[in-house]
Parts: sequence; structure tokens; C-alpha cells
Amino acid sequence: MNKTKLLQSMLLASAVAATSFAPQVLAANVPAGTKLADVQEFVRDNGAEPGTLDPQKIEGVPGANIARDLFEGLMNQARNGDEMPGVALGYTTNDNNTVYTFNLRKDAKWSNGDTVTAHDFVYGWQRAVDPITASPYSWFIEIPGISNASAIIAGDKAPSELGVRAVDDYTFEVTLDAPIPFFAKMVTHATLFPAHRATIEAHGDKWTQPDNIVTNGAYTLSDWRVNERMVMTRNSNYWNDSETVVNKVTYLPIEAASASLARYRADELDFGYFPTEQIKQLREEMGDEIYITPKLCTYYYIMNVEKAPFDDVRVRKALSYAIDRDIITEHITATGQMPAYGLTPDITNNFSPKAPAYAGMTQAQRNEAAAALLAEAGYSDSNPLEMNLLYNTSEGHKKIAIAISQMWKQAMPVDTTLENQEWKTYLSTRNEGNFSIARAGWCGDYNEASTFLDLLGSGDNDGNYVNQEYIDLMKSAKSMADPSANYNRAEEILAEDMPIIPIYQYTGVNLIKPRVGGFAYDNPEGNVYTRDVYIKAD
Amino acid sequence: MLNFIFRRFLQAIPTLLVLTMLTFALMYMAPGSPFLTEKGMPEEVLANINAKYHLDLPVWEQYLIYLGNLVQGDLGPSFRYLDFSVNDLVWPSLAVSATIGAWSLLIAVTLGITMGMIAALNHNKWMDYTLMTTAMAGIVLPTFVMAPLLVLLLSYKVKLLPAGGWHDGDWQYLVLPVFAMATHLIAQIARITRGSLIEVMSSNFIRTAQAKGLPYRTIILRHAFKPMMLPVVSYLGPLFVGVLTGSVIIDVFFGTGGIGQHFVNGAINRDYSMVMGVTVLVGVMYIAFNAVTDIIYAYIDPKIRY
Repeated sequence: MNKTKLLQSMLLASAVAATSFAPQVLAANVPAGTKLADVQEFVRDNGAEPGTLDPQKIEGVPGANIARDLFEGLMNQARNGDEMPGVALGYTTNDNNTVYTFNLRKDAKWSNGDTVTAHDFVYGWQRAVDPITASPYSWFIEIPGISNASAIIAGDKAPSELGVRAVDDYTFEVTLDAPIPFFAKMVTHATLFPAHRATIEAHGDKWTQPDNIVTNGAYTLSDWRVNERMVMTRNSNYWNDSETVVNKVTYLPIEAASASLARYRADELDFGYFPTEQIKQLREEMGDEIYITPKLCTYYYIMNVEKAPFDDVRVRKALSYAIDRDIITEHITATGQMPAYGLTPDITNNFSPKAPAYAGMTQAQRNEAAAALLAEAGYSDSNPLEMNLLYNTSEGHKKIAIAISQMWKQAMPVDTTLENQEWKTYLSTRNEGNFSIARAGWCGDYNEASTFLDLLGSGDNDGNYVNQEYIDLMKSAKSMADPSANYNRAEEILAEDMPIIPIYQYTGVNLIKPRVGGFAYDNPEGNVYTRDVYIKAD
Repeated sequence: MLNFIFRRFLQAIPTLLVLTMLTFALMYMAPGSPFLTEKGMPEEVLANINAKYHLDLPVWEQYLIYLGNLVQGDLGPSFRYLDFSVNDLVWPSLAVSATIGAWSLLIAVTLGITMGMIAALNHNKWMDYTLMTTAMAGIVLPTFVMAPLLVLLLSYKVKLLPAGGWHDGDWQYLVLPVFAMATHLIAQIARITRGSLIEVMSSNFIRTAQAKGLPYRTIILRHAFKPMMLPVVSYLGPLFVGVLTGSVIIDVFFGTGGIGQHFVNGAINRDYSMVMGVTVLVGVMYIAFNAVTDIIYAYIDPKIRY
């Protein structure tokens, strides 16, 4: 049996399994004996108002959260981050993994009763790259190298030339320029959801309004008041509606964690946030409602390697070594964060990053090495290293920056001036390379190491870091069945060149009422589907 | 009077033109742009977006396009909320803020003036001291302290009122934002009223009225009230617009969906058309209410003629 056949049979088996056991894996999995509440309503804080509900244009977390309830892509994400069947029952690939064929379920329907077909995916994906749509996330289709995506975005080819095809109503075929083993993971992202052509053509930019929208997810939009609330109700045409429990979902765009906590306490939220500096007090008050889980995000400092003194690797290494990450995670962020010595978080799927050598040293050894490196680079008490540390205005970033500048000062002759800028100014400064060292953070777009390592995989990064070996490694990793070796080498190079200083891996810190069941708070990307949730009777 | 209104209307045009020009220029001088993100995006993607929103044109041309749309009442597309135009967003949120603001003002004016008058008429007595101490507490407690305090007491400790939301302005949702906003105003108005009435009461025409043996009630209501209101009105005029156009603290803390949040988020997100839209709207309201204040002045102060 060749590889494709084997894969096909495995997928067929899993597809059959998925169909026959659909209720167990694809919807609310209510444990036997659980008494459900009469009123099945779920109210959650969404952190901010989404910029759009148009899946092809969504770029932020708030929008993506909502899109997962309103729409469904080819694949969904399981609680642990693995992909699982969505509108597609499964997929097959050709011998070299460049053609993916998705087999669509025949009972998937839009909220107006229309069947969800392969043509809806063709339209949606073409729309995402069409310059007329002007989607800020169109580059997401370029990452896996779907044929002609880049040329269409650049206006050199027509959207109809995108490498996607409806073989028939229920067979959707995607052609990639190069094999991407993790492509199936990417189709859980909103950009690659289907789109209902008739609705979009009839209403233009207003198609996402409650009166116009047609959805294919478990819910449909019934009310949207910007900056107040968004209400969704069950989509009775959803193929697995019978296994969905929650009837009404309300998303509140509460930006201030203090307001979120106030409304949670007033029992107006089932899921909320709180100012993390209140953790100690809240642990005593409502410890069993606090959930802290690792997230697929890394906090780091980026250095402008073209600018002296950061063009000297010894300086970069010295600064990285002298940071005591344990103090930061235990005493400053103090909500379960993990010290980071590499760019890729530990929880990344299918890749366990090897810790670099300096992670195994004690802080005293690291400080000693740091002082030696800086002395070697020519800095001394009479000639200290002077620099500006840039961060975007926030109390949290400020505390970390103060601690780190003190750690540097204590370990070696370094004088740091802190500089904060509001978000867009900071982005612009970083973007133009007008900084020496700056705070940065990144959360994965999909659960695979390349979403992190690719940040430095071309010369096009804010720190202007270029290493040809690194670039080649990341390029060849794209088509490898198991790219772990490449990723580990890439991380090794980062520890050798130290263009960035990894500081910690983020955690998600949430409040969840005890009455809520099935909420996948531990999904590494925070990808939760409300159709998995149920409300228990008190 | 009609002549006066017409003149004010004509004066408003150059004022608004300068306002839009300055705002537009300042916004474009601010670093960053609406679609700048942490990861950045490929140049072609950015070029497509810039083309869609005319951001690829020279600034003066963008300004002219904006003015052209503005005179037709079109405030342009929002760069932050891609599914909405600025018109779609500002009108409903202005209605929310104006409702909260109008109730706050009504309560503040009624209670503030009453408290101020009682204090003034009991000048240097215990009533005066009690009321003014209370007012001082109201002044030093800003909205961002009042709002969480009210929620803590009335939504959390005693589950009497909702901690946030709007729900089309149902009264339960209105009470806390209105009181959080009004407290400070009540206190200010009470202090101004008190000061003003004490001064008026010692003026010659009041002494004359007293000498004529007029009843106390008549002296206060017919002779002292109008001149007492002069400083109150000049305080309320500009305040009126500020209160009606909302408070970002109220919007953020109570999640009401008012217009204050659009103003601040518009600037933070470089949502150029939103910032312009709200500025123009607030500008027009300021001009209109200043004119209204002037008209009220003419009514209560016989020395003023237009």
C-alpha cells in the first residue's frame, strides 16, 4: 500500500468514525447524569469589538472567536489543538502533498437552507485574495502557497486563477505550489471559511448585518450593537444542531479587565477576565473559578541588529543571559507564565523545542557569562553600554522593562533609558527600524512551529536580522513530513545569533462560572466553539 | 434675533472648515496608520487596502474627497469597523450618550441648583456646611472612582441593578451610568449656584426689594433667581455638549456603546474617518450650543443685546 492509499484509507476510516460518532466529538459532550439548566444561555467577554465579521477579512482574536460560532470551515479544531472534521469529512492528498482533496459532508447547510458546497469554498478563498476585497489577512492564503495566490494579490492574475477547484458539489480540491504537511491545520482559520455568494453580492460590505447575514456555523447573528453586545441564536439548519445545547450566546466587547471582573461578579458574565495584579486576592475569593492555561504566544525583546551596539552578537547575548526570567514569571507576571529561552512555545503541536544551552545554566553562571561577553565587546564601568528600551504603553510592560533594566545594571555596566509609546506609534517606530531594542510579542496563527520561526525567516523583520542558513532551513522545512530537526536547528541558530531575547511564554487567565461545562479553556490557541458548551443546573 | 442666528450660522462655516483642516492635518502627522499591524503585511496587500480607502492619494486630495462627502452628510467608511460606515456607528452611539448625558444634566441641574440655593440661603449655618462638604466629596470623587463604587455597592453587594450594558436604554441600565456621571456635576453646579446666590443676595437691588417689604419668596424667585443663573448658564453651556457627547470612562466601564469610546478608540486605532466624523459632530454641537447659550444670556441678562 503506497503512502497515499494508506493515508486515504486512514482518512476514510476517520471520516466514517467522525460521521458515526459525530455527537461525541463535534458538539456538546454532556457527561451522563449532568442536570442541564432550563435556560441555556452563555454570556462571555470577548475582550474587544471585532473589526469585522466577514471571515475573509477577520484579523484579530475577537473576530475569530465569533467566526467559529457563526461559520464552519473544512476542518475544526479539537480541544487539544488537533484538526478534526468540519464541513469536510476528511481529505486525501496526492503523492507529494501538493494537491489536497476535501470530501464535503452532504448535510451541511447555510442558515437560509442552502446546501454548503465546494463552490462556496472556491468563492470564499478567491474572495480572500481578490484585491477588490482588500482583506488585511489575504497573506494567510500566501503562507501555504496556494497556487497563484501571490500573483492574484499583486493584481497580476485574476482571482479565478487561484489553485482551488470544485471537482463537484461535494469535492473541493486545493493545489499548492509546494507540499505543506500542516496545510489541514490551516483550514481551521477564518480566512479559509466558505462564503455565501448570493448574500455578499446582494448586500456588499453590509452583508454581515443581522438582517442580511447567512451563516453555516452552529449559530446565526440576531443582534449587533457595536461596543455593547452581539447576540447569536441557534442555526436550526446547522448539520449538527441536534447536538448543540446552548440556545443563545452573547458576546460582550469589554476591553477593561476591571469592568469584566465587575460584571462577572455581578453574575452578568459566564466567562470573563480580571486585572492579573488582583490574582492573590481573587484566588482566596473565587479560586476554583480561575483558569490559567498555557497559550501559544511568546513575549520577547527584539534588537535592531543593523544598529550599533546590537550589530555585535556579544552584546546581544550578554543582554539575553543577564535576564532572570524566573523572577519575571514568578514575581512580576505571576500568573503561571513559563520562562522562555527560545521563540517557539513548549505547547506547540508536533514539536518539542530543545532548550538551548544557556537555559541549563544557573542565573549566576549566566550573569558571569554576560559580564564577560560585554567586557569582551569593549564595555566597562568607565564606558558603559547606553541604550533605549522601547515598549508600548502599558503598566505590565513597564514593570517588566524596569525589572530587566535593573537586572542588566546589576550584572554588568549597562545604562538603560526606558521609552514608552502608544500602540500605533510604537508599531510605526518598530516598523521603520528606529529603535535599538524593543518589546515584542507574538501569538501563533496556527498551531505549528513555523508560525513563530517564520517571523525571522526572511529579511523582512523589524530587527533586520538575516541568516541564510536559517532562511534555508525554514524554506525546506515547509515540505518535510517531520520538520522538527530543522526547527531545532533554527532555534539553535537563534540562541547563537540572539537576534531576539525570548522572555516568557504567555498564559491565558480566565474566570469561568462553575455552571459552565464543555468550555475548551485549555485549547492552546484559545479556540473555543460555543456549540461544545452547556450550562448546568445550579 | 433672526439676524443674530443667521450671522452665527455664517461664522460657523469657516470655523468648521478650519476645524476639519486642522484635525485632518494632525491626524496624518501622527505616526502609524490604520492598517499597521504587529506582524505587518505584504506590500501588495497594503497597496490593495490603501487603494480601496483612497489612502494612496496625496493628503490634500484625500481631504477634498472627504469634504465632498461631508457636505453630502457622508462621514466615510470606518477603518476600524470594516462592516460599518462612520454614519452607521456615530448616530446610534450618540443617541446612547445623549440619553445618559441628558438625564445626568437634568438630575445635576435640579439637585445642584436646589442644593446650592439652600446652602446660600443658610449661609454659614450647619445646613450650608453639610451640603458643601457633600458637594466637595462629589467633586473630588471622579467618574472612574464613582463608577466602580456604584457597581460594587448596587450590583455586587446588593444585587439591585445591572453592572453594565445598555439594552436600548431600559431604566435599570440607565441608573448607574447616569448617577456616575451626574455626581460630579451636581457638586459643581451646587457650588457655583451657592457662590452666585450669596453674591446676588448682597447686591443693592435685593436690598431695595427687601426695603420695599416684598415677601422673601418673591425676592428669591423673581429678583435673585435670574442673575444667580448667569454663572451657572455660562458653566452649563460648554458642559452641555461635553456631557451629551459622552464620557469614555462611562462607555468603557458600563459597556454602554456610547460615542465617547469611538472618539478615543478612533484616535488609538488611527481610524481617520471616525476621528474626523466625531470631531465634526462635536464641533457642530459646540457651535450650536454656544449660540444657544448666547440667546439664553440675552433673555436672563437685560444688559446684553445682540
